[in-house]
Amino acid sequence: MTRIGLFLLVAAVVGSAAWAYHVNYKTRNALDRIDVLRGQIAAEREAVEVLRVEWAYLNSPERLTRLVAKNNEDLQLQPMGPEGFDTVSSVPFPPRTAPEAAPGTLRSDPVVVSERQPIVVARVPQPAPRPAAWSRQ
Amino acid sequence: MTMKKHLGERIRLRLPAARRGVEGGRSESGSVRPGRTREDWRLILVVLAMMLVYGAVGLRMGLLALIEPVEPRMAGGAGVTTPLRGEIADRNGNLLAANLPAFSLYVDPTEIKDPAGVADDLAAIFPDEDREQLFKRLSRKARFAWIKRPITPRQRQAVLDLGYPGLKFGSRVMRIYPAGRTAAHLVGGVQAASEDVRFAELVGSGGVEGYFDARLRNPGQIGTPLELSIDLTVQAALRDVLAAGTKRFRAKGATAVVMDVRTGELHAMVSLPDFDPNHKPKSYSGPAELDPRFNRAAFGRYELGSTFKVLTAASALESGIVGPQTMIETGSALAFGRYRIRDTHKMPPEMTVADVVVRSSNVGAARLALNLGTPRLKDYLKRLGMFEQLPLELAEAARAKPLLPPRWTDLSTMTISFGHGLAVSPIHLAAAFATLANDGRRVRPTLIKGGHEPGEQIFSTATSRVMMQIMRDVVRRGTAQRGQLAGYDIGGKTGTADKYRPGGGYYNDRVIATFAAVFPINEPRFVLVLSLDEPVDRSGKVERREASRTAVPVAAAAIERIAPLLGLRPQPGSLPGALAAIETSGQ
Repeated sequence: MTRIGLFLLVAAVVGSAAWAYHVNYKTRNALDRIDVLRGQIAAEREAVEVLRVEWAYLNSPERLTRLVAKNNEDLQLQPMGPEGFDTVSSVPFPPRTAPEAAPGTLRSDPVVVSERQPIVVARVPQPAPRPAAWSRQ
Repeated sequence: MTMKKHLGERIRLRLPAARRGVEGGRSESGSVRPGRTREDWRLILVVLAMMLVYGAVGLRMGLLALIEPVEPRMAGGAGVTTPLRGEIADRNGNLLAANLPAFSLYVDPTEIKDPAGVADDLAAIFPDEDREQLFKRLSRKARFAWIKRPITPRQRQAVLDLGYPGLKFGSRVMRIYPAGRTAAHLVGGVQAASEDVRFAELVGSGGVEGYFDARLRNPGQIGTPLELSIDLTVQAALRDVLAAGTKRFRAKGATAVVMDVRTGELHAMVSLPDFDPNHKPKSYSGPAELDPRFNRAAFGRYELGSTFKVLTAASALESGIVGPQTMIETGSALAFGRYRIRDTHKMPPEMTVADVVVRSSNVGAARLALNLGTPRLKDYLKRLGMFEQLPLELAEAARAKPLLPPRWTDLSTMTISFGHGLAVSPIHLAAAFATLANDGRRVRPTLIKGGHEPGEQIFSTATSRVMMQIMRDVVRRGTAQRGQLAGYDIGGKTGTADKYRPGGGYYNDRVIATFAAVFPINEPRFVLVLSLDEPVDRSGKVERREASRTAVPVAAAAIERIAPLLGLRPQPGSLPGALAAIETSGQ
């Protein structure tokens, strides 16, 4: 009995020593990894910082003005003026067509459209593609 | 094992023998007796001490041999580089001042064998450095000399490519102003304080950098950029227009500010000539008034001429001595002692108070001011902040106080009523006009986003309304008719002030032409004050210098550019819609 106990004890000591050894090295590796990662984070942050500054520089009004002047032939950009504003009513929306008759109703059902139609400013056979910028508003 | 046992037995055997010798035989052969002598204890103590010392040494040696040396590590979060100085941004988050990692270049002159050759090579990389200076530093009898700081990574690479061993680098943070000239006068600059090879503390000098130095260096606030009230887009547009106007009228310089009428926030502050803050000129030789580093908008002190008539008229209306339609005698020159105040153009014998402003009569304004009295005019001007330094967040602000007459006489009152004898900055004037436009509640200028709450009521709402109407008439039928714009109704007042001649008197042919505008006039939102220094309009047969021909058209062009950027919609129906011109086409 004592022998088995002794054996178990020795096995436990060996086991725990192995475990401690393992954990020790795992911890060291983890610490090393943390160091590497911290270095990477610092480098990335610095890169982000540099890129932000570069972005600010590339978008500086001075530089943009210079580029606009340089590419005037192709782009023909102009300063925004008061004539850039207008009312919604003056937007040449496509004319509203009569809605399709719902199933189960007769096609001859009276659908009054004409009275509610807005005054047509311009005729558009098909709706022009909507600029992406509109969807935000 | 056997050896040890042996050793132990020998010691044990010997000890009793020794004792026997000393004490003269109280023998109990081989066993240790319980009582021990002093000598025994001394011996044991020595052995223990030896064991302790050698044990400690051995333990330490073992530890040193077994454990790898590691740098001490800090717990949590550390190890990530934090910026040394907070950023400055405009009201929309565009960076005005930021940091870049850079390098400093220094030299150990003892390692330089051929200073002349190295100086040549370095001068080729740094064109702004003097070769002789470099040579002197490279051949210095010391172990250390700065070459240049900060330098960019590209310059560092170029120096590395030279391959000289004595040239060394330290890391350094570089302050950079991405907006360049556009915001040059605002941001100011930084200087390196307490610098060494690897590190330099950047301390703000001048401008916002100087004023908010503590805030920008506070570790708790470094992460959040300091947001100014400036709108970089508006600033750039205003600078564009102003530069074009300066060129057209061959002005020596110009300044313009745009102020929010309700909060006092400055949306733009331009001063020309300007400079690139990334290459700030260290020295300037030439007349001080043309120094590009000088911020005319905040620190220029000018007699702003007839624009002051608006303040005179508002004070007179507010105090109740006249109404807008009260007739004022303007036909003849006003004599006061040996001075005579007269108008440049022939004026009708009598004009209403409104017309005195609209047609800009010096005599009318002076008479109005005399009726109002010196104490009351002074009181109004004082409450408008005309006598105090600008409460603006710039390091130099504390030094710039308005120039008052040394002795304020009734004559001073009369001349100041039309803007001579009191020199203030354009921002002073903008704040006064903003106060008038803000239903008479005091507006304090600021460069910080958010602005101030309106202050005390200086003018009544009624006076404010009447004055807005009068200023609108100035543009509709008065001196600023060239300021009429399609889309926006503006109001304002022109001012053409003869420039003060150093040594006394005034120049005949040098003026400061100013236009102070409020727009949109029926619902005031912004004040623009625009000044041109010595403009000349040579488009006609006669050279013209009046603000109506110089400052006003430039200001109108400026408002046309910046009003849409400030988010102001043109008045409905005042313009042919742009969309009507668009033809939509389907496929």
